Amino acid sequence: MSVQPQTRRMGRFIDLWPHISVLSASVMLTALIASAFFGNTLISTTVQADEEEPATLGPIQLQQQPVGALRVDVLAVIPENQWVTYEIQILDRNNQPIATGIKQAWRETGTWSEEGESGTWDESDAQSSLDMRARQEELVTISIQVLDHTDTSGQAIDQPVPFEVTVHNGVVDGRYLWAGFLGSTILAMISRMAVSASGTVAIRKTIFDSDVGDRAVVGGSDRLVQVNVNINSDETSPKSLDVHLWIKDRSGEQLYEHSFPVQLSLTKEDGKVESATGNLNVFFLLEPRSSYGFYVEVMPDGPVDQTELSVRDGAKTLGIPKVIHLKSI
Amino acid sequence: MLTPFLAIATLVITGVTITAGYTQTSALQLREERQSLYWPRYGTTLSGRYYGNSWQPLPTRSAYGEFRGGGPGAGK
Repeated sequence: MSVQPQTRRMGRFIDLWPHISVLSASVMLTALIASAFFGNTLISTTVQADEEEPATLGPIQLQQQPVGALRVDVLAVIPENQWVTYEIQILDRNNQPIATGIKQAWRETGTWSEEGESGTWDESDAQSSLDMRARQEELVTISIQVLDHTDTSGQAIDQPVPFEVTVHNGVVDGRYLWAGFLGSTILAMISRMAVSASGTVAIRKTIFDSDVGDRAVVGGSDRLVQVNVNINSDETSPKSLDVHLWIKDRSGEQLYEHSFPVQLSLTKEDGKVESATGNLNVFFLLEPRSSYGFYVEVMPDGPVDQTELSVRDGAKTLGIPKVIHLKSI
Repeated sequence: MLTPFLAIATLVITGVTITAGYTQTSALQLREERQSLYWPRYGTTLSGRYYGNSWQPLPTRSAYGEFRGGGPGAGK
């Protein structure tokens, strides 16, 4: 017998997990943005150092802190085509080194010419950075020492090198935050896409025509049924097609029928339509759980190359979609 | 199901990276002998290690000569 279809929005089939993923990724983004506001600049200056005479900065008071570290950034200002190996030394209040980091810096220039064009290039790697945390209170002095200074052929150069030094305290390590942001955003996106593939596939049938149908056991009072129709059409496609859907009960009696307009997305080449695709997604709540037949006819049928019908049982949703409720006694 | 697994993975990534970033687990921990989590920034590698109350330079460091860093009375 025919039933009265009731359409209303239902939120009870929402999958909460993708929303948790998105929330987590939002927290990650907030943490990343907040990190830019952490820390204050203690020193920002340029010093000179050579192999005999290191440059010193400080002293700086360091305390144990729960968040953040002391960051010493040193940029060697190297003349063209020279190599400078330098060391950042951290000395305690007794002038004893408690930490040292080495940077092998270089700057090389040259010319290039290719296919009639030419130009110059200038590459360098002269930036170094040392983050440190203290377990106890320290009074530190920073020393920049040049360990080796040569030209690109290895000949020693006896000239002082300028170093731009910046010291911040209370800064956080953004590398982890960027990695976390990238990872969590990708997972959140995958998680949202996974919802449209939720539930078990009860029917998946493709026909190289415009009429397709099949029958399967689906439904129940707590199982959302997702009917999806995918259409591929040719160069004679109009802007929209009508998808006619019938649902029959276990005895073959018609329960539901409706014509859904579907907008086609046209693929054009040089302004002319080459092909088109269209998609229809309808949610049903079918009671009781039983064998139901799903039949689809696409009209007009001329342009239609392929029609795929897929019915998922026990589907989940991201939001609160319209659901057509068919309850047969 | 896939979505609970992805949500838990996202939560773990968020928790671990925010903790590691904000508490600077990859910074040089001063006066610590083991620096297993040190992650060099801009290619700045450590040229020694802390051992028994003082900083010991690495063997390769001796190619460059002694520490001459800072303060009056140090070096020459």
